[in-house]
Amino acid sequence: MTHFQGHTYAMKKEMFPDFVEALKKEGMVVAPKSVGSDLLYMPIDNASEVDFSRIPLDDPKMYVFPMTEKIFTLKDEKVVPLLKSMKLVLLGMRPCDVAAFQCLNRFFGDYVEENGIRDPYVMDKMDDLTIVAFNCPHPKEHCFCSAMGTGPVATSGFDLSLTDLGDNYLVETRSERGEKIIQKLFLPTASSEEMVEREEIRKRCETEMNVDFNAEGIEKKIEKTVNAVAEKYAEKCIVCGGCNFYCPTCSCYNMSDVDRGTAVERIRFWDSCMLRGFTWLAGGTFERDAIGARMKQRLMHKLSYTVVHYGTLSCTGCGRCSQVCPSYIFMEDMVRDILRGG
Amino acid sequence: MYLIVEGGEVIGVVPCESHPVSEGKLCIKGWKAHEFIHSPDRLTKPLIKRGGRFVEASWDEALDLVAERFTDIVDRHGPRALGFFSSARCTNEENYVMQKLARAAFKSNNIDHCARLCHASTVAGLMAAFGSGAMTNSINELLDAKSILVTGSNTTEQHPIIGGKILHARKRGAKLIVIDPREIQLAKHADVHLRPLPGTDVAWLNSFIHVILEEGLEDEKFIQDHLESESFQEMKKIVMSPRYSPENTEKVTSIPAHDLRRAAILFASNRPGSVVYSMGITQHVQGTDNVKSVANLQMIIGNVGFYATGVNPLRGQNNVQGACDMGALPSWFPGYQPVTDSSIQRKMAKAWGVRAEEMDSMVGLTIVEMVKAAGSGDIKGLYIIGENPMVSDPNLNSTEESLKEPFLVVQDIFMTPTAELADVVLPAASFAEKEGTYTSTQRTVSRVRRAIEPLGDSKPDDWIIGQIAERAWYEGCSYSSPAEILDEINRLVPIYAGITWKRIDSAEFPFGISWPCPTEEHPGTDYLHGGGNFSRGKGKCHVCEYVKPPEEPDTEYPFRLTTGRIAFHYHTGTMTRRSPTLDREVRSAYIEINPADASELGIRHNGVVKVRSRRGEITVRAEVSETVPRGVVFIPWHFKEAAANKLTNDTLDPDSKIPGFKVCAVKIERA
Repeated sequence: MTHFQGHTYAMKKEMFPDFVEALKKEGMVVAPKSVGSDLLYMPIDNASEVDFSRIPLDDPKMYVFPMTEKIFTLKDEKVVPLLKSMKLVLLGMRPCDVAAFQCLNRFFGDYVEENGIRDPYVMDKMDDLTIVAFNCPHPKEHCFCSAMGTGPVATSGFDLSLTDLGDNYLVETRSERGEKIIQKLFLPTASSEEMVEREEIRKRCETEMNVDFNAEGIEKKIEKTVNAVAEKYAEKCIVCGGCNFYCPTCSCYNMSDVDRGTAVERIRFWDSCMLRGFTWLAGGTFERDAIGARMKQRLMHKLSYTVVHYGTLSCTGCGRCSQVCPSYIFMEDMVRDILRGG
Repeated sequence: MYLIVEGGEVIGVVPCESHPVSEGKLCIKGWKAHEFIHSPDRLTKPLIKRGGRFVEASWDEALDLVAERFTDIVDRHGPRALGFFSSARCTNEENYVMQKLARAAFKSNNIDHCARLCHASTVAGLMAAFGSGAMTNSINELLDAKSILVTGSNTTEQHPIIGGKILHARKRGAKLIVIDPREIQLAKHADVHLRPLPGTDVAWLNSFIHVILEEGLEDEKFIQDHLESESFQEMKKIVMSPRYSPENTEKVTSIPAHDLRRAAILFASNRPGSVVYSMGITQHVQGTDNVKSVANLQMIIGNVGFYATGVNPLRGQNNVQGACDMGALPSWFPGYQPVTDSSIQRKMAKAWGVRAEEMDSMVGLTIVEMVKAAGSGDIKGLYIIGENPMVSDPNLNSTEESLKEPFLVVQDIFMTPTAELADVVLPAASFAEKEGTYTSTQRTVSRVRRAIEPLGDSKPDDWIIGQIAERAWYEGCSYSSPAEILDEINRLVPIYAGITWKRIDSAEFPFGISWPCPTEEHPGTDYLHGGGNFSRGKGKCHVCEYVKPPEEPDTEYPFRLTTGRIAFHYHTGTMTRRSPTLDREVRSAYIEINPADASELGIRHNGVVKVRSRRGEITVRAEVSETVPRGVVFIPWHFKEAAANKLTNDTLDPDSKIPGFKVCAVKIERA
């Protein structure tokens, strides 16, 4: 994806069904779809099921890194890996999640590959994945992507992206794979007016988001303030783990072996650094016993450690952790407090 | 909450963003709700005990045996020799069918469920005061209260979503008053935290009312228009006596008089005010008096029948409200229609196709009474669904002896310590495997939908109950679907009359309807007793005098033990302890003890101690912590291998028959 320059096209909205048909040739298409009164990332058959009207809470991370996954079975002293992969198109991923997938690529693939290690369970799925981003026309309550430099318009990390220009979609390509899909539709190149329009939509969304801080360089400021901020917000934390589970970049997992009698299954499942048991030591003590210490770890990891190790912040400003927090602890408040000195 | 299913297995959950109460928030038990479903420990075959060991059996064998033994017991000893424990984890429809099995098929009112152990005193107390025994208001109203009094509820651990809303209400300016012996998380955010000794609630509640009347902060108009005046005058006479002055109350409760006065004035002068309570109020030998006193308090301030006010007992299981509503109680038919009322008996008999004069017309036995009756031989057959008295009941050593006696049938999803004592074990389906409805703590009836097929040979509870009934020559417990059962409920239960399957299965009510809902046109009821017009007519004050708990610390057993739950486990731990994430968080029982007490006894943090009461002994780890005051200790009761209920006292509240779990005397020594 990295060396491809990319092109920009205009697509009449009437062509969206053809676009979806073209995507279906690349694999199972998953898009935000109305289920009950919620929007969930679900497999779709035709374009009419796709709903871009709201930003879903649902996290597409599950399609590459499931909540629970059987990774191998042990039977008759033989290990049988259960590598599951299928061609998948994630349609309508928001820019924050596109950025999150780039983080996941580094955590599970790019970085460790230099040492000859690659997590096949996640990376096989990543390799078979086509990402079609949808740039946000409007923000949601807890959005702060503009402060984290990940949105509201995606600039890289996708195969195709869509921007809603009213009658048209602006379609951008960032990979050979994306270019190949779009070429079958014979779309005209976007006009300069359309490019200006996209810029205006970005500005409008940023204005509506109304974020009064910018996280650039936060990794240099965090040491001074993190203790006070972590302590302050931890007082309200009820330890549900939701901020980790629904963080699109959180990638910690735990494993357990399940004896089914005829075979043993190894299962891996999402873990959370906000749980005390995450740092359970022999003898029944806990490295991070106090909730404040766990909150500090979470903030340091998102806003500092991954900058050092992977060259990227791992908070994308999607606001999911704020939305799912039963105690109304908001990540945007913590980031702002860290930047402003506690 | 949505379940993610892959290849017939539940592999995850998705929070429901559009749900008006949860708003996409879950507690850790919700995030990990899928982890126990496919546990290898799930029961998937009926089991019959032969020669002291369980052997697998076919459904026909097991069901025939149960029906045959139950019928035989009724023939030889009468219907009252059978007992039935229904389950607050099961659906409304299953609870309805279970009580119908007891009442119509076997003609016994010996039906009860675990609400007896948690909110029996709420139902009794609020029914007497208001005419309805449920949470008066809705959860989201807490956000708009001007003051919130939380007592006997560790809300952020036991009802985390509600706890979060209380924290948020505090941030929005509500005054928060926490009254709890332990320094719980909410206490750290409170305007005032009072720490009464466990078991002294009537004393401080009366003193609150004393201060409010003394300061003239009562709502005179509300009292005049909406309360039975004689009852108010009688109650007033008692609480105004000098023994309930803050100064004299301090001697009993150890709450500083000045703080009590401040809290009472703060609460009464910031209206609308809401009281939130739970087990710390109900699980006492004076539980019903505690609840009545809370009702007294809210009535005299005029905090009942309006938005963001109310007496709000938080129910502790997914469907404990529904199990009560469905009449899984020895004194009520479904919908709180008394079993002793002959016109109701006739109505039910007609609908159920039995003769009214054959039905049991007397109030049946409660859970703890049934266990005792099993021990004494008065109950010969006991059918327990989704309950685990071998961990949840008080005075377990005695419970165990009693449960060994009768012909015991246990229906569950796991082999619980109770099931181990059974003669027949029937494998049931989990919540992910069944269709039906649940009723939440705020009286909202909503759908649960099947995500996967029942595992192995396990079956939904309503099917199993129907089969037993058929084999005992009663066809009335077999239905084609839960929808058909709800339809029958709609016809017989006035408060559920308008909550039809069609409505709550539709997009119009994706999150259910709150009872009372008398007709199909009715939108449901957010808060009860609107405008102060109580279900019983006028509100009734009750005279409640403080009585000492039956067992107080003495020189031999010098500590006051109180028990409770923690955020990571659910009741007897049969599900949560099988979730690797929840189990890792807290793996074993512990005792919270104040650092000063610990140091006197030479007990170190994490050290192993023996805790002994007059009824039993357990060995646990010490958690040395300021959370408990001196002289008070706390043990979570989820853990079967160190069951706190081996220590607790089985003395019952005379009004509601709830055991006084929350106070007993223990001694502690290093192990």
